[in-house]
Amino acid sequence: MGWLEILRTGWDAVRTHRLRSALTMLGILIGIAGVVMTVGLGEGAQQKVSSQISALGSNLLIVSPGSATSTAGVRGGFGSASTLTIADAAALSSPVATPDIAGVAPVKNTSESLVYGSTNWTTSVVGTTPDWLAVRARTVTEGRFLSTADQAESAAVTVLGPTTAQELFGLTDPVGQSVTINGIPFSVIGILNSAGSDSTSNLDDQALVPISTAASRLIGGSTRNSVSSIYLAARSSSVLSAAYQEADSQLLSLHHAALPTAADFTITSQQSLITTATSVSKTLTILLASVAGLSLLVGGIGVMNIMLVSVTERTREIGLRKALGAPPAVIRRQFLVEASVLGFAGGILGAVVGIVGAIVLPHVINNPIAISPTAIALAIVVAVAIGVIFGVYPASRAARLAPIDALRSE
Amino acid sequence: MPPDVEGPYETTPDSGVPAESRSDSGGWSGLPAESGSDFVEWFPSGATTESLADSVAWSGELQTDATEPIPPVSVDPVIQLEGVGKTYRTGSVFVEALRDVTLSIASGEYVAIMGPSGSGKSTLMHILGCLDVPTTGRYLLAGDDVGRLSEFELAEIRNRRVGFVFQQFNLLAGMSAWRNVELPLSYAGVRRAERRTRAVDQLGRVGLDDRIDHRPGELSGGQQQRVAVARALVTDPALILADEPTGNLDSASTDDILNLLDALHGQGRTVVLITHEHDVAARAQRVIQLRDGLISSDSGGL
Repeated sequence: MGWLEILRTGWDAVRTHRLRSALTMLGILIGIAGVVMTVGLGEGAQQKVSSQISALGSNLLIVSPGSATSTAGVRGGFGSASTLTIADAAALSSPVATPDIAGVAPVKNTSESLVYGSTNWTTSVVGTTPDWLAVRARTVTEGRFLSTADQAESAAVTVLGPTTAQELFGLTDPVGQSVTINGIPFSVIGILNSAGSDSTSNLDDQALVPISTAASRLIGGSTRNSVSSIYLAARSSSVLSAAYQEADSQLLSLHHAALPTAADFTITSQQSLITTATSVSKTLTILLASVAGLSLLVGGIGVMNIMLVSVTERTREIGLRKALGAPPAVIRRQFLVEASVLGFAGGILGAVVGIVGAIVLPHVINNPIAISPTAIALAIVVAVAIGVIFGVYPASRAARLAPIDALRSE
Repeated sequence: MPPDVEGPYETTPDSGVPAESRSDSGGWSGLPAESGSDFVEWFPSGATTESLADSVAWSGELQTDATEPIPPVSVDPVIQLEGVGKTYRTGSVFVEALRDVTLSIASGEYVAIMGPSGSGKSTLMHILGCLDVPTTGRYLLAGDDVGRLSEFELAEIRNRRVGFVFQQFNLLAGMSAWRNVELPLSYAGVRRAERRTRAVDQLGRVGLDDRIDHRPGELSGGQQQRVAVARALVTDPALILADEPTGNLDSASTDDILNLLDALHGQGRTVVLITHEHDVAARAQRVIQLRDGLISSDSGGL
């Protein structure tokens, strides 16, 4: 009896007991659909997190100022001091001392109200250098970015985020228009691409100005030379730690800190954020997938249960087949194939339900679900394997039945 | 089956030829003389057996050769039972269904086995059909000691050499008549297209040309039993075992089936019929009465 023949027999048996087969498959179906969706959810979350983080700029290091202690002895948190200066940023861009640092973008943040005609919009005004674009991995969709010339002249020019531009100008083309910031008219020279938002701020809602302009015309006073943070881009992700070391030692010597513990700044990397975020979502995926896997196991036990019932119920049929010359191996194969047909059909249906869920669900829960072909293929293989594994015992019981005992049963 | 296990029947011309090509050369309409000669060929020239005393003491060890040649008999027996006993165990109770049955049935004989319920006739038929093996004694089918065959070989014997007809018909309810008939062929490894041709052909011979696609539930009892007869015949077996084939049938259908069996006997097949109706048994050439697991009378024999 060929495999095709046995497959046909198995399919016939599955079809004969439609309701029972459907219920058995349901167990596998739910398990597989669950695995496909949870793995997709996890993968989607990971992709989202890593795309968000890489939107911040790849190979990015962020230097933040250290803590400031007030005269009353209250110690502020990291970033409360204004220990970082434009001079620090300039020192970090030295190709000799810091060869692995490709770009340096000091930023000076302030919140200002922007006015265009009768419209106003309060947003974060960021003074920075032309390097910012590369360091933060952004592009301009229209116009141009800040130039070294703008920097040198402390020009009253600004590049707006797309949200800011939209809020101020609506349908008007903003490039070439003039906005008033802190009473000074700035000319809009470009619009940034859209990058969504990171964990703390909307990356699309900001106005960039040359740092020299910010220092001299917007944020004056004693803090005019201090910066809120310095973004550094390493030449590649492989030299990220080298870049970290260079920046660290350069700043330690500039700040006359003898020991690293005395540093009045901190350097963080995006890498650590990515690692943390992905490990969190991985843990979540494993958790969800193991719940789904558990339901798959329950589904498998359902297959075994049904196959055992089937063997008991069809004892007479088995006896007859044996009387007609079916060797034990063929009987065993017949029931194994029947179980794996259940597993396979359940797996296919489960994958379909999983894919449909992955397409429909994101509209409801606002979380992307990745459809991973490998995960789906693997899930179907697992479904068939479950059919086979949980079919072995019932099948060998069927094969072991003595033909005469089987024929005599009622 | 391990390649080194060779039953004598394997080397004979009969089973050496694939079932499908055998049917081409005549099917079950083959002449009695031909079928008879097949049985003669099943017996290798050096076929031997052991004395009754030996077989009773047979320990169950595999024996590679038997030592004593039996004296030649006038008619070659296809079935030889030597002191066969069968004990079943039901829980802790041992039931002796057969005690000491010694019996020879020649090829082409038409034998009826009779006896009250519990006399062991069904057990005897199961042993004859290789559905069961004796606990004691020996059963030689065409010279092969059935007790020494593997399960695979027994399945092959049931498939190729024995056709069963049961009282309960034992058709598979979910399958059409022709699918039921082709089932033994599928275990014989015959290709699908040919199986259908042969099954349909066989159904025609039992007068069911117009019922090939009917399911058992759509057929009368007599028709179902005819499907079962067609199924028993489809592999062209030499031995037909019928276990009360008319027990569930009305008198008209009973006549149909018995006429079919008569015809099979006429073609030279060995027919063994179990019944407790005397008029059914009257059709047979030889009637064996069983009582309490022993033969109480035998109208004929070798």
